[in-house]
Amino acid sequence: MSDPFLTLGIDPDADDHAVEAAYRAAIKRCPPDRDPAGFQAARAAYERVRTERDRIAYALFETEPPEPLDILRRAEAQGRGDDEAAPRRPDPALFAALLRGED
Amino acid sequence: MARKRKKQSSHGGSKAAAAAKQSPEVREREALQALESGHWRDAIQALKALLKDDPDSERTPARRRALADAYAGRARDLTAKGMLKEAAVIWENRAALGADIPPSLDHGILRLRLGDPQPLIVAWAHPDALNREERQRVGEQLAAAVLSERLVGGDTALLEQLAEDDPIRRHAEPAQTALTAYCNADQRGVEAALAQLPFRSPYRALAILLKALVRAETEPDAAREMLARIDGASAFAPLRRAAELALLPDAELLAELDRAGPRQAELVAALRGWSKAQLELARALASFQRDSGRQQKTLQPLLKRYRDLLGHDWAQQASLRLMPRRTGLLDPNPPGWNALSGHERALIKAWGTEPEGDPWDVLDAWEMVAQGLIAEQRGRRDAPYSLEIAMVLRRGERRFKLLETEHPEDYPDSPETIAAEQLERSLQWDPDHRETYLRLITWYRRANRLKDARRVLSQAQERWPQDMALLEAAMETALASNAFKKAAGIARRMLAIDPINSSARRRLVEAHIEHAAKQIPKRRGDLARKELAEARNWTGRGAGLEPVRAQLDLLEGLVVLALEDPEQGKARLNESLAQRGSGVVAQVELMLAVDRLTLKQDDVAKWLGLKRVKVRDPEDLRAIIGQLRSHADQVGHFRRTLMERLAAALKGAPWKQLERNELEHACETLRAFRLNEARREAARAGLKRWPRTPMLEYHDFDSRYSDGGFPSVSELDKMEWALARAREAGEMRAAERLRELLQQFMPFGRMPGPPVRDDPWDDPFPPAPGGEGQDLGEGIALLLQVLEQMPLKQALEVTGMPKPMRKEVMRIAREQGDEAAVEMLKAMIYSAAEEAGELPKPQAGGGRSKARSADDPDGPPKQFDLF
Repeated sequence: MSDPFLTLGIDPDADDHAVEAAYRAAIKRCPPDRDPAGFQAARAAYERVRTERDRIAYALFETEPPEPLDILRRAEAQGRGDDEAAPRRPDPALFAALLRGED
Repeated sequence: MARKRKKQSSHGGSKAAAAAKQSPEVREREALQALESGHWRDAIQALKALLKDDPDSERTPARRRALADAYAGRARDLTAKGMLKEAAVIWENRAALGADIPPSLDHGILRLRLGDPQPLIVAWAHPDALNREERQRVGEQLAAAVLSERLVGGDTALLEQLAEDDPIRRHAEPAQTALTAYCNADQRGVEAALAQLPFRSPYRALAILLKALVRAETEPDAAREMLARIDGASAFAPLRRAAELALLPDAELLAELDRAGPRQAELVAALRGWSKAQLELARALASFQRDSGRQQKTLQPLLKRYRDLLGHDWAQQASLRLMPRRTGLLDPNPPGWNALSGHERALIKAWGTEPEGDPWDVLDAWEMVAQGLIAEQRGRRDAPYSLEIAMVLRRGERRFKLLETEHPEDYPDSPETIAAEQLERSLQWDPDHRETYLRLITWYRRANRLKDARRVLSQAQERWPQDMALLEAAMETALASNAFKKAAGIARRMLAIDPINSSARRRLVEAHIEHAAKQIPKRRGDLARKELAEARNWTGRGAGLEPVRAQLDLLEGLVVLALEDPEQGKARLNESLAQRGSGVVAQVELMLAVDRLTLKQDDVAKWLGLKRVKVRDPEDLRAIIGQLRSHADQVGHFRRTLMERLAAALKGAPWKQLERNELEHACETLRAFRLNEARREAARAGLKRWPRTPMLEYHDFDSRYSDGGFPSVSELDKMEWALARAREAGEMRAAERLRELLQQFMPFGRMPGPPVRDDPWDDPFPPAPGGEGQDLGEGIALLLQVLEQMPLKQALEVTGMPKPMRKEVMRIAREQGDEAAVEMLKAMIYSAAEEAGELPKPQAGGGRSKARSADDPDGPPKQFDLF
């Protein structure tokens, strides 16, 4: 089971409002007809941390260690700083290397 | 290695020698088969040998072309594996076959990759020699090479070998400008440069790629569709693959990243905005995920190495879940991490205790966590802190659902008492948790601690005066206190809030009937009738209460018959029975009513002149099973005289005319009434038609021993086979019941084993000589040895003692010490052994225990009952 906070892209200290907003954004991003797996994941994550009690229970009683995917998402979430909106662009040399056949 | 080569060579030589003996036609056919199957090396070897051995054949030109195809196939394989130089050698071999072998475009492309563009430049300069697709391909390859050169250092060597008006040369500048503008996030620059590239430009795939990459930031689905338009054989395809990888969902990316080359991975990282460290971490995680055999604990070093990236607090919290949970193994100062706080240590211990620990251990462990939190909060009572404490105090009860029991154990140190006390304290920290009040009220009521139930109820109702669940709990508590007026008042409140609440009505009706029954021994017919009249009032026009209204006719008639006016009562009852058809179904309904009022079945039968009846019609049987089920659900208790009458009525009932699900349902109902004889008949009738039905097998076994007795070894074997079949069939409910049944007869597994062995002639599967079936004395000696030599808790687990028994023994050990508990167990074992006529033997290997008592060789086996 993936970390619900990372699935929804919120901090563990998010409040009810933030959880709700993240869930709405997630299901907009993954509508059930186009991305059923993504929708299910968002739904399951929301159910697990919907209320303050849920979130405290998760912090105290969840014993499952993190999945590799959780760690990847956490690193991504941490890596995103204030410049999140800034475009992510590679170095031209990288294009050149791939065009030369290096992979 | 040399030996291996020699062996291979010798093997290859003998193969070649064997092939040489075949006719050229056969050899050619085999070579062409190898070619068709893509076995390039075999095809090359065979065709080369054939050309050498049969040079003058008219088939030689065709064989040379086939050899050229085999070389091409092999060279492409090597190229795909990245073995470019080896592939080039193979292409050269192909080219050397002769002028009649046309040059391959793939050969030219490979030479371009190895730094020699000439073959492709020559081909590009002769447009007539190429078809449209080949020309497009060559153009893209040269364009990609030109672009690569310009991007790296502005080298124009290749560019200058092209004519000035060559589109590759003319479009190189805007292509490079577009790409550089993209890398600089200059959107306008990209658009302006791409506008200079015509539709048929050799850089068209690059234009699609750049547009897709720009679009990927806002519309990933559209970007994927655009990327799919770039041909897989295009010179720009490596860029397309990396871009597609970057657009994958996280889980798929992690799976694919492990297979991506380093440059592709770098481009993915750049497109996703990852740092170098993030890419390293992602590749390490991809590698971890690929190797599913790796244990979770190997994630720990990754968390530690990348904790700056992940955030120290998050990494520490995640690592707590990977630490060993046994206190002895837990390092309070784990290297590389912050020292564990008291709360963290207590939490890890509680996590470790939960899966295996008994309720005492789990309650203790969470109590420690709660105490740690209380000490840390230093009197703070704001929401998150107080909620944490309350939830921790509720955890042990929640884990085992201790207060849901129907038969509370409220002695001072019982887990239930401890849990109830923890729940009470949790309400001090979180008084808004209605569920906790309800659990406490129900448990206190069932434990007959009505004062406590009322106290908690009062606290809860102050907060939620109109709450239906609390009103229902209040009504149950009032009924348990025999406060019928109060209960009726509460029921009225409930019905005022929810007029169609039939459960409140039903419960109140049942309570009045129960109260009426209490008036019978006091011979207070008037009070009994008053209660029944109250009950009738409450049935009103409530939906689903018709059977109760009908039963009230019988109950009122019975009160009149037994306590007031026998003749009038008899008339009323006969009339009621006549309305029901006067058959066996009506009589069973009367029996149930008699039982509810605690009257004597024989007396009522005698007064009414009723003879004993038997069920012979399957429709009657179905109706009676329905009546019994309803009675069991609503009333839940009954007397022995009812059981006897029902047993007599059901003897020889037409079970075989019922369907399988009806029989399973009937067996369940009969089990509730402990009508084991009838249950056995029903189960066996079913097993004749549907052999080996797991649930029917369970009822057959269980009904045989529910009233006492002990199964033989072969019976136990049969139960075990039935259990295996139930598990195999996925009938887990039947499997669980069979498992519990087996455990009841073998609390220590097969040790020391039942004391008796059937006559081997009766056993269809007699045990192998010297196989299973342990000697009783030997088993007991072993049991004693285990108790004496191992720690008590471990010893109890080793013996396979059922969990509830283990808990009880451990409770005694806590109260009186381990030695006292061991002595008690030893005394029980000696006593049981003595009863079974077998004293423990100090050494294994004695003779077999006696199968049956010497006095009664045909009598039932002795029960070996330790507990």
